[in-house]
Amino acid sequence: MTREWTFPASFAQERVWLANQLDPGSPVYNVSTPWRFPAGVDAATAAEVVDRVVARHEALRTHLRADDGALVQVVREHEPVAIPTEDLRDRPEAERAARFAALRTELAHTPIPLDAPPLWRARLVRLDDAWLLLFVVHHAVFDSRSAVLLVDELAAFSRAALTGASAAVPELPIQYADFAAWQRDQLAGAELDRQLDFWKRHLAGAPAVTRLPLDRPRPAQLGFAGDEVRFDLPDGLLDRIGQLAAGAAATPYMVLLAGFAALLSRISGDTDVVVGVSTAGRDTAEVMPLIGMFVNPVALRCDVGGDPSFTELLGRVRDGLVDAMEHGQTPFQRIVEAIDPQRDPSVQPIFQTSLNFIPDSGLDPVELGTTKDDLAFDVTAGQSRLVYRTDLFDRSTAESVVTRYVRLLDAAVTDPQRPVSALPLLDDAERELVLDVWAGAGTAGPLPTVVDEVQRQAAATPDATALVCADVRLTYAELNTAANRLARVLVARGAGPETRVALALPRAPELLVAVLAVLKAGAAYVPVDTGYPAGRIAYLLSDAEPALVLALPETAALVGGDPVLLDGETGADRSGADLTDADRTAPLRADHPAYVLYTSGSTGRPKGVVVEHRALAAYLAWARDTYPGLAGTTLLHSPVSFDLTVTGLLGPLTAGGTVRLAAIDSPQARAGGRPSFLKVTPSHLPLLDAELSPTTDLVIGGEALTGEQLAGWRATHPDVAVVNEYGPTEATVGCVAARIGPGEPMAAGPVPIGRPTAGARVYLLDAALNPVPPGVVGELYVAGDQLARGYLRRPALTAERFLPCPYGPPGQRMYRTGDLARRRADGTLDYLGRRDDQVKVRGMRIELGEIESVMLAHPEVREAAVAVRADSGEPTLVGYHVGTAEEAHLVAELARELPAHLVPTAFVRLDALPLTPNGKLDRAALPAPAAAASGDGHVPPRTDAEILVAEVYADILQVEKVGAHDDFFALGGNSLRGMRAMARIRAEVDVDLPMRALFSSPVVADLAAVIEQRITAELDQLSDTEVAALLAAEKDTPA
Amino acid sequence: MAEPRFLVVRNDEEQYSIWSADRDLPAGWHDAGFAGSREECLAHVEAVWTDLRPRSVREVSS
Repeated sequence: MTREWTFPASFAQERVWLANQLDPGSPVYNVSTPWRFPAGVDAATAAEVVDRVVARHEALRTHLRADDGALVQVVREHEPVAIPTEDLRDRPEAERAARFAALRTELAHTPIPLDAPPLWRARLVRLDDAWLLLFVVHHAVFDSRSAVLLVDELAAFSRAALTGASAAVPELPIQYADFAAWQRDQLAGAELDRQLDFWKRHLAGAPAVTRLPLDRPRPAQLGFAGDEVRFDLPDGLLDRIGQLAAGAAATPYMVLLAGFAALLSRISGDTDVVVGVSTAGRDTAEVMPLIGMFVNPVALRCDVGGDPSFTELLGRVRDGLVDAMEHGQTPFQRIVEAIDPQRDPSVQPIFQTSLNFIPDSGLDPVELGTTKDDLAFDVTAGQSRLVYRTDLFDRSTAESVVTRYVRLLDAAVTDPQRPVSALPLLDDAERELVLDVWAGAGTAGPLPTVVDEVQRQAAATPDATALVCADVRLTYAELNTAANRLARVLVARGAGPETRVALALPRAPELLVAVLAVLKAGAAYVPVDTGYPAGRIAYLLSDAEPALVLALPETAALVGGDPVLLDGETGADRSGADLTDADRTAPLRADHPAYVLYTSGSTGRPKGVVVEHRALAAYLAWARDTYPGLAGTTLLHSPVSFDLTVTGLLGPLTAGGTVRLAAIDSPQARAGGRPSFLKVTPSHLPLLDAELSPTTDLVIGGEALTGEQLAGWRATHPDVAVVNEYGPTEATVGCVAARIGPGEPMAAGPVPIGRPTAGARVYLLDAALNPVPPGVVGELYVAGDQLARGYLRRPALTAERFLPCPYGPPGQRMYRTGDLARRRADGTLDYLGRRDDQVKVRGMRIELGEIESVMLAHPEVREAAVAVRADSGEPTLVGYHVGTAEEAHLVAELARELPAHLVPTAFVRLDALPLTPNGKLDRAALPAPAAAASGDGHVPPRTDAEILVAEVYADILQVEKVGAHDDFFALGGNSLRGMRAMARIRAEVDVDLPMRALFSSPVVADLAAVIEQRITAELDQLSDTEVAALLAAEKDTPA
Repeated sequence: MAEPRFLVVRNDEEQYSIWSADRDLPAGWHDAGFAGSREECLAHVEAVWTDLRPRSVREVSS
């Protein structure tokens, strides 16, 4: 029997072993080192040469084993291993190469289990006059330096075999296991603590995740599936990199890293980026000639803040790299456990990207189809590559990362004094695409006033119905005449261009007449929501400084002072003819204000947005083109103080349609058949029953929309177009829209907001106002005809939000929306939330909409909202749901679909989501979750499996009380202890339980559920006889 | 690090805005003769931009 010796595993072996446990069936850690024997070495000699190397290096006779939760390396005594040979010389030439490639690929792709010796596979293949060695070895016992050593020794022993001389190979004073033992001894106790302290300080506050422009959300559990893009650096670039490095007391690697940090910063919007680099880990002479795994990853934190020049950034990277390398021996696994004990299995800890510079070694000819990092560059003097995670990126995205890296690096090296923000990411064609083609025209030529538009319509269809409100019905002629009469009264009392008239009117026919009358007088209307508190109404009236206030007798008390009362007789004695400029206080032009709407920003007092006729006419022209339903009947249900209602109010009146004025939950809303056009917020969607649902256009605006919210309604109304409209009040109602035609497929998740309207130009810019590439998150800026004039009597606020536009015609402004968005490859925009309320929990950025859409996918959840609350200090995620879903099912569903940090920690069931008067979700009104049921939140384990898991946790973590909801890592667990815990559980229940189960289900109840599932699955595979036998055996066992 | 400097700028419609001092000024915009921190520039705008009507609107009206 072959003798074996066991030694402690090295830190590097432990790390590779743990990572390998996450997906043991992946060849991600296979390293290929092909070699060609000199002519004259026959197959037997070649095998003997390999055997000599294996005899010298214990690492090639080592495998790993988990012994009661401790990882050991097992070294076997040397015995010759047979190497399969295949002579391809008899085959036709074409077949030969193909067969060789197939052999090579098969060998490289076959996983090597870590617990069965040896950890390498070899083949001898003969193509021509010499034997080729295919050698594939597990990274747990081999690294890139080992590859060089292997080749040197194969060459030396081959030469010796041919000449009969002795082989010129160095003596090996120690073996790998000696190193491992020495390392365990060195890096322990106070020394390890000191090193970990450095890393904790070094990485304090670093973002847990670099916000890479992903094509897909992160899956709950990372796998190793990857692909690679191969490329060549432009001729001479490496030389110029070398010259820049030499002049800056840096190395070419540092220049490559500085370029990578700059790229990551530019495509993520983060100024603090962490990149993985590695150390050889061979710090002493004794280990230099040893084959084995010595490499240790090191986190390089790069500060790209303050918009440094590339030279300045290079200096920072140089200092950072030197500092990191000085502490490069700290076992990376220990750093992970010190910094990020509650590791999230959807994200690689500490860093997600890396860059290697291996100038002299070529790339592995075999593509493994695996990756360890989200993005990893291997730069060589010949062919280079970017390896990427296929769960997250499409190939086209990876290709554009490569192109942008090379473009940025080339420019940086050419002019290293340029600020990082000015380094190019886009080529000329892409710039034209994002700044011109996709930005939109922004103008449709000279625009009329809205008064012209309404009067044109009234003249064209005088007898058509313009307004229905309860039992009142007005034709266009009647409405226009009434508005003209009132307008003359308003002019007589001082209203005219550049003045404002406040409307304190409820949802009544007078409201429509008044809106038109104010516009006809040339003034701007200021809606005052009569449902608002008195203080808010008073503020609005004092801030707007209206020339006049219009009220009904029943609303007069709300506004105080001396309002103009509309009593049905107002203006009855005046002419009903259309006003001309001669009738007004001053000529009315398209750049006079049409309305002032108050919006409450997240901070400060509400502010009045001044929108001119030009902007309004531009929006309405686009809306008439886009929404055929405006020529039919629209239901106007929300207060006109909300700019979403402009579409349903002035849209039909300039398209020959009918405005039906009614509350959305009133019988009048349903009287007269289904409307043809309806505009709502997503929160209204559950109210849209068969009588209320529009027949032609459903427009949704005001809030982010998901496919899940729409799916039900679309299924019952397959013949209606749905349009998702986006737009701040400052860019007039809607400036970006996406139309989903009848029958058009719609994906789950956020619905895109689409493309700019005809009257808007839309830019996505970074912090330095540079256009961002497709796929990269930018802030949305709007320019063009639909731009508002600014904020009423707020010059500083206007100057702050309406900026000089560097991209359109000279002298134009652009509005900074504060909204984040991203462009898809076809230019379609996706809305990603507000810039200033990016939600973060435990340092991870959270997209609430993403969680909400998964909740909505649950069949028993009708409505859902997710909020971040800090009721108990620490911000936590709370999920709100309407429907009959059980909390436990909901949690299980979410945990399946989402990374752990996106699963809410508390849930509240509501009868309905609270809405603001405008129909938006009222976040402030969401209740706090009830405090955990039993005071300290301890829930005793309930099932046999939970009891088992809780006992094992308690024992291994030395914790007294472990409950069903306790998390292994939160209780102080780390990967090593996890290994022991899993070994213990496996021994107790005898099921095949992979290590990854603990990472994906660290909570007692969840892990218990996994165990139960596995037991059930194994029972299912047994035949009835086997089950009967097992049960019988159980009975026979004495109690 | 020094506080970033801004300029008060104005276009031909005499609309005001602010602009980072180390960035090229877009075409059609002019330095209005005031530089300082962001807050100082905004305070200056608040003081000098007394009529938010674009120049072309003002000229027709008067």
